[in-house]
Amino acid sequence: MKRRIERGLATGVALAIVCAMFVTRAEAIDLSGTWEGKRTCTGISGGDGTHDNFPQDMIVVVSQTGSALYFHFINDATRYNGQLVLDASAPGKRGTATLVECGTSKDLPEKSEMVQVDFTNFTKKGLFVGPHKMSGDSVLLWQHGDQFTCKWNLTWMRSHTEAPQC
Amino acid sequence: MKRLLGNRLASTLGGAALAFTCVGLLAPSAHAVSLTGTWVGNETCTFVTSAGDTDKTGKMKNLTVKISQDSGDPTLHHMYFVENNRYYSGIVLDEAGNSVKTQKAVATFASCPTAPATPGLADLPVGSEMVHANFVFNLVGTVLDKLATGFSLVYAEDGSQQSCKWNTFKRVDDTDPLIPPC
Repeated sequence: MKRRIERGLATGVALAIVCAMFVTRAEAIDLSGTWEGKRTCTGISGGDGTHDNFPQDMIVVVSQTGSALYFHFINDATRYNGQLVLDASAPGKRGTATLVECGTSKDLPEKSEMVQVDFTNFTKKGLFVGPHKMSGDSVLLWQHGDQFTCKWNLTWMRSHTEAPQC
Repeated sequence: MKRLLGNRLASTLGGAALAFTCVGLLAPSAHAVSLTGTWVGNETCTFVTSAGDTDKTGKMKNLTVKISQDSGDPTLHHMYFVENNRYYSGIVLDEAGNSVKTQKAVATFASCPTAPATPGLADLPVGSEMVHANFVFNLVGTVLDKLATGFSLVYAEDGSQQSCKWNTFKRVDDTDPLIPPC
């Protein structure tokens, strides 16, 4: 009888720990992984001053370390570092992040860019039910003096890790 | 002999003319409109505080930015946003297809502190900002030049993350405010 009680207690504790782990995982936002999508840019070409608009496919590796955020935009071989803040009213579901491209400075070298995105973590009653989504804007000074604003739209696709760097 | 000298002279002059033409075609245009002066206008921002609260400021009116064209590089400009107490450097690009009445240009500015965070750390420099703005200059008449539309992203001094629209800033004074470089 005593052994049964002990076994039951052990099972209950184990189940509670497992449940706690799942709930914690479901409620915390971790944006790390490979994201795919598109950005659409509108602006002026530096070469001849004409209007230029273009869509661009994006594959972005994202690494989150606490509230620090790192983007590696594979297609353009550009990297960004910045930070996120979780929405105060729904910290497990939404947030905002601002990142700056690694070469960016007051001297405005080519590829200077600042990005701000809102992200959504689809959950229902604390359980993850869909992919993360990320959308936002950037101000971009591209090669040859091209000047653009861009709209980003990305969806989390798969797990991936990469150490943040600049 | 005289004809030979003449041919050589013509050839030399022709070569020089061709060289000048090539240099003129290949060299980047040094011309750029000047944004120098004091501009007054409105801005609307949406921001997320460092605690994660979202808010909208509504329209902030009669904001002032002062801009000076760099003395050495006419495309380079130095800007001071009075209400935000923030300095910027920016690059102006003339748009093609301007008429005799108006000229358009775009500019991208970065505030002086703008830089990425340290990899793995949430330490984005406060006051980081990039601005994209469209200008319309009136070449005839008395209509004021204007910053027609603008858009900026900010990581502000209070840790908030802001997205702002700049609306119809007008150049109320073209006196050089002598804004220094970053």
